[in-house]
Amino acid sequence: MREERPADPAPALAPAPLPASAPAARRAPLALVPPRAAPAAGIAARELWLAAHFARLPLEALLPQTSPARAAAVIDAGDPRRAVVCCNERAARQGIVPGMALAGALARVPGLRVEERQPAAEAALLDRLARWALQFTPMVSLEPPATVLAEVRGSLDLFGGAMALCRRGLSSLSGSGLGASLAIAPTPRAALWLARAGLGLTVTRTDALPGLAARLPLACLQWPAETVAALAELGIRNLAELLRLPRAGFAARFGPQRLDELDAGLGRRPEPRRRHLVPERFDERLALSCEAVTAAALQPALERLLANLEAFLRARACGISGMRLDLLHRARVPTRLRLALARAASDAGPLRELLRERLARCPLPASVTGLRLRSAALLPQAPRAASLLERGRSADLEATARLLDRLRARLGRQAVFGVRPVAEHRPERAWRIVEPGGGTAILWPASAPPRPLWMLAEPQPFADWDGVQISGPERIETGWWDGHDVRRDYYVAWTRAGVRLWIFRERPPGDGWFLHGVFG
Amino acid sequence: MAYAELHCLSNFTFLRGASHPEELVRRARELGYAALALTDECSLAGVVRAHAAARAAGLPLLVGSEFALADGPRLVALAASRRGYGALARFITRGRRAAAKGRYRLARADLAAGLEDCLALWLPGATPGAEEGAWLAERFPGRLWLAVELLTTGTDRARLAELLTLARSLGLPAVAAGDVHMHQRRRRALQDTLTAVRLKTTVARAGLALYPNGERVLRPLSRLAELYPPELLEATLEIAARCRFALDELRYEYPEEVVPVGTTPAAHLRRLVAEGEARRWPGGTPPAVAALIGRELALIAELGYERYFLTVHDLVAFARGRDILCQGRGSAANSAACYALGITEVDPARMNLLFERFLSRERNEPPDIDVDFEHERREEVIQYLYAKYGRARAALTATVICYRPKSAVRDVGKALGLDPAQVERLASAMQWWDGREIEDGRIREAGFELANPLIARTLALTRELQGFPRHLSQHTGGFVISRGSLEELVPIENAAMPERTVIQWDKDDLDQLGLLKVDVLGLGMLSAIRRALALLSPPRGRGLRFQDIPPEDPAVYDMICRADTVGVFQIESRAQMAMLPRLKPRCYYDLVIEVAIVRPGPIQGQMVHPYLRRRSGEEPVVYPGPEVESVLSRTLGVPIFQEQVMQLAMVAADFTPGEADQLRRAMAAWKRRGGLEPFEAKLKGRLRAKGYSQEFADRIFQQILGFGDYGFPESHAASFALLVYVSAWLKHYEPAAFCCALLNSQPMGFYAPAQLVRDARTHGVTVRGADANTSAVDSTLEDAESGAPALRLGLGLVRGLSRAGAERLVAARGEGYRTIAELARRAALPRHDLAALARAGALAGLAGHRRRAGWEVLGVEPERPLAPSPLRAEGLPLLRPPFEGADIVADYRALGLTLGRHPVALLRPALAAGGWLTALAVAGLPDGAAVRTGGIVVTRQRPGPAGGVVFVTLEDETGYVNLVIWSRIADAERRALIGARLLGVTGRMQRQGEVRHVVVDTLEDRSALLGSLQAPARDFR
Repeated sequence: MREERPADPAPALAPAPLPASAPAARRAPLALVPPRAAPAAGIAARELWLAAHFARLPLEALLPQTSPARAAAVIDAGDPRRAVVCCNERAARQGIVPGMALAGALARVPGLRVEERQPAAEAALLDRLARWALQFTPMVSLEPPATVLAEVRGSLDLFGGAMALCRRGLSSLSGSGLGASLAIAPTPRAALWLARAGLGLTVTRTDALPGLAARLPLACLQWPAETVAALAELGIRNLAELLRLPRAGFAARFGPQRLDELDAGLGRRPEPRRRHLVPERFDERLALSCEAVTAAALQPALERLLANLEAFLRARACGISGMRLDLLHRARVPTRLRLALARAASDAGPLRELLRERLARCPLPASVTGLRLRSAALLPQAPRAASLLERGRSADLEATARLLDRLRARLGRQAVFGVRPVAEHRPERAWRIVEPGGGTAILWPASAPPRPLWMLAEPQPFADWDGVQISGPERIETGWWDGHDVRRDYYVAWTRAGVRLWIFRERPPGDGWFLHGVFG
Repeated sequence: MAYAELHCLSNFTFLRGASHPEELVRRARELGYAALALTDECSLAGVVRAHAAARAAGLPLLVGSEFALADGPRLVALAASRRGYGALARFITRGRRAAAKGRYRLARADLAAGLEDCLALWLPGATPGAEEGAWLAERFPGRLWLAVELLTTGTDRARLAELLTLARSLGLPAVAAGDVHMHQRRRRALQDTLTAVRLKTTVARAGLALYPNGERVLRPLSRLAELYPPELLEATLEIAARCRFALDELRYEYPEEVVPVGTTPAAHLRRLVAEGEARRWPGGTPPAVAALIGRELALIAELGYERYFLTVHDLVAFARGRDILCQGRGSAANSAACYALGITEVDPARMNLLFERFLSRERNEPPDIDVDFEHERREEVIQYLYAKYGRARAALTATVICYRPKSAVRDVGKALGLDPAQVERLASAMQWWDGREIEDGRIREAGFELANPLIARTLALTRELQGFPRHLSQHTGGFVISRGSLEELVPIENAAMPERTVIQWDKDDLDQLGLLKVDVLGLGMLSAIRRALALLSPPRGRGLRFQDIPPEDPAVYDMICRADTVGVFQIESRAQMAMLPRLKPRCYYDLVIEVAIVRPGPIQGQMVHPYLRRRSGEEPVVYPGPEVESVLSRTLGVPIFQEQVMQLAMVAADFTPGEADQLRRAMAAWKRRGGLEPFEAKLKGRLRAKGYSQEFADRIFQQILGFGDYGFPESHAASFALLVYVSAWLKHYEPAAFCCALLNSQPMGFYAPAQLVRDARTHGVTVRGADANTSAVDSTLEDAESGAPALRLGLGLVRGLSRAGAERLVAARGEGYRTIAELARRAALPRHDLAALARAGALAGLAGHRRRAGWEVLGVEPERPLAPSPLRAEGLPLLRPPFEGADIVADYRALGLTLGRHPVALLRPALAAGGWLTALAVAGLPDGAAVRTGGIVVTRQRPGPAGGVVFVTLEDETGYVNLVIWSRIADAERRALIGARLLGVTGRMQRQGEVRHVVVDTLEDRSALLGSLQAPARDFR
């Protein structure tokens, strides 16, 4: 940096002046564009970073198979303007742009499909993309919400150069439906800029970066809107113009950290990146020495896998709440068995029992050539109950959980359930199926009219009623909102046999009576 | 058997009651009820409507209210007398004032002394506590009943037995009641929906908060007889008979203090009028006027309205004393007496036919005077009213805010569980300009299937909910002033603004009861006129007063006939401008007609074209009968004013004045509530019977429909026409002062500052930019070489600059600022104010172009009192001056206008290559010529009843092009029409004399050409 002298034209942010013939900025389409190599000269950089930017990730995280025929957009539910975060190509063609208020977007495209942004889904997708990047290098770093960085210098030879690596990256994404823009640069920050700008360039030399600045719009910095607006008011539209501002003046006005950011991009100061760690799971295959045609024949191999799993879990002091067993066949899709546990387990005992139940009920569709056991994400295992007094209760719970697991494995998941009352006037909807032991009871008003314990699944016509009405009517007229409007007068009646019945008549009175329940 | 319902909520118990008060009254009458009590929860907001409906239906109405005490029983209180009514109103006020807007809080302590002259029903809870009943019985000795409400819940019999036992043990009589929430059972769905909205949940999730059945309805007598023992039903009649109060007793409670001690109202009014006459006619009152005044005073005396006129006079006299420009309007205002009193400036000598609707002996109608004040000084007048009558006796009236399609669909949609994006989309489908009707086509266009039951339910409920009162808001200026304590007349509640209160009745309610109300309204044009006159007073001008403006100046009318009226009061709108060259106003009364004729009423009633044809002599002026001639001769046989329709009904169809008055009220309401059918039959039948043709009868009725919501009375038009003339005169003779005054009175009128300034410049006014070293906060006039004053834009136009900052800047300026840092320091301006000045180019004198100024502003250090900021040595950036286009964009952003070239001028080469004509070239095209043109969208307007036509005005560097877009094309090209800032069109020229439109065939959004240019377009609904 030159010495600062106020009278002179100021020392600029970038030492090298912009080449007179800077290539005109052309915005590449967002689809998969193979990066082009930028002119290479000078010294090679020590690191090379691949940036993959997914401009529509908030949308793609929600609608993986979004049909391009329909305009779709994602909004931020927390935003009072409900501004569009991003939209698909069709919506863009119809004039929707990110930042547009929802009301305005709907005025433009009344049939717009609108989804609310889901950060969790976005994070999960970015996580998946991190795995994709791991094919090139172990050093992968995430730049949420929508960019993946990977240090690829060491892998270039393996893939046949930067261009080839990018092409390989793009082709492995094709078919995923994701709109990606890839770039390679000597610094992670510069790679981010290039990828966000959608220029699709591979730059391998640090000294080539300033020459590209004129092609990088301010937007690729992703600075706060007010900072970008303030710069735009000064007539600054791209990085080249930005870099020509005096350093001290810039830092005083926009903050030293912004200056550092620019320096990091241009390779003038280091910017360490945090490495992305992929969560572990157990995933092992085992080929059978000879093909198995019965479940029993699978047992030895299964035992080995389960023993490995147990060791794996013990080593990490972790438990799992579920797993998947694939039975591999020759020239056939694997048979997949999924197991979910009522409580997280850290030893193979309960898994072994459950697998045996399932395999016993699962006829093999073809001979099995191998097995693959894959655990769900690892859970930190809670320490065992320490209190002596608690022990009985805890063991009780555990026993209940095991019973449930076994009943469900044997009868099917749906066959075992709990029942919970629901705040609703229509008797047939006043209860709901819940997970066994789940849900909390609601408070029915004390003065509420009586309800029978045994309800018929469907009210039955009740022709031969000769009892005596003892109370009623209780008029129930409600439920219009879901198409099951009920209009009935209910009565409690005794039969001659002394059974108390709950019967009703439709309103306005038709000719029939219906039996709906029996009091216990 | 007979029954009176004593516990009944209307939809004025917001989000509980599911029927209008009128519906309840009519249904109770149909069912043969002996009486109905309206008992909205801690509210009397619906009683006047119920009262009017009950009087029409011949049903006794009881006035009451339901309360839930915070620490105790629920009860219904019913007013037995005027005193009881006063106590009830006071009690409601107490509860409402103790809580935030829309809520109330009452506890046992508030009811410790009971409510005198009120009867009470105790509403026991699910497990009734005898203690509550005993406590209430002490408060209402001999006036408390235990209400038994049987709602078919399956436990009715047990409940009845339990309550009767309880009543016996407490020695209380029991009475039947219905807890009525709706007039018909089919409102059940709506009632559930309201419950969900109230609880901010969905109907499906509301669960047991919903009522299990629809029994809270006005039930047939036969059914009640099955449910209740006869003595409980008879008790309802006993209570109804003891409630002897009717709202009619509240009539005409006018204030006393406007009359000095020792004189009578009549004598005092007579004296004030005589003083006024001496002022108005220094040479003596003309005999005709004197006779008129005599007749008016006699009528006022006969009807006992002196104190009303004295009250208004007092208000106007106060404003005059403070130099606040004001003007009264309305039927009573345009009287010779009011002219003498200074309430209006409409000279009876110039308007000899106007007073027929002044006041009528037979019509049971209180006088009606609205007074317009300068909009920025209206608050002073309001404070005067409060000071003079006290907060206990003067209050703002309420405006009942009702559900409109958009708000209704939002609430219904949410209650039915539509997701927020769907609700938003449905709402936006109803937004298309005028949202009165819910059009199926729009719903379908928004991607909804009408056959989908959920959508069908949503729409059906939305239609039902539309027009339901939603909350009470503050009227813009309707004041009620009472003789005694206001809170014994009508409950008062907290408004949204702190320290503001509002009564529970709106203007129509007060009108119905004949209470004194004065509209203290704000009118921007009065502010602008006063400002223009002030600019013209010494030293710059000659010291003009409103009254001194020379009347009937032909040069002013020439300008009006050319439709050169940007900024002129009322006649500046697109539709008015189109009318001016056809109507060619040449005198004051022509302006009165001009103001009234371009209204939806006359347009819908198809009165405009006949009037124009008759005026231009293309059609003979004929009358279907002599009575009609007497009414319509001043408008060439075409009814234009609301008064004329009333008079026609009286003279041609023999309506009594009372009937005509009912017709007027029905007219105003039919769009919302219907109810004109009886009048249609009566009117047409009588016209036919008197020998008028069926065609004439049909046309008159059509015209009545047209007047509906939009009818414009001659008495208002007369006052407005004066302001039209005065503002036109100012525009013609003092364009710089006029534009300056308009800029300083913004927001007002149809045009944004950009159009006003452009118009002033085309009229030769020199306009100078906003500048930190010369501009004041307001725009000002400066001397210029030409002799005519130049207009200097004020700092107030700078967007984003705080008012306080601008004021500090001007106050601290002294000899002027030399640098931005000095300005920042001396005026103590925060960074965002400085940035606003830089963006507006107002720092050009200190720092050069706006980018340099922007850089410097960003570098200004915030003041640190202890450590003076050191001079920092830093380099100067190389910032290019902005291009012309960018400069213009920045001007629009920062000021809303540019003094540079018109943005379209910059695009002209590209547009000309595309074959676009300039506005100037379009103006010269012959009728029927094909047109291709375009420009910046200045206004978009879809007048309600104009058959769906959209009017758009485009602006380019040479002038304006007016577009007519038929609804077929507007709907097909909706996106371009709503979204475009730069609009290109093709179409055909249509010209009739001076009136020119382009009837559009195709339109395209060319906004992309503007880049980021943001020209302000104003959408009118």
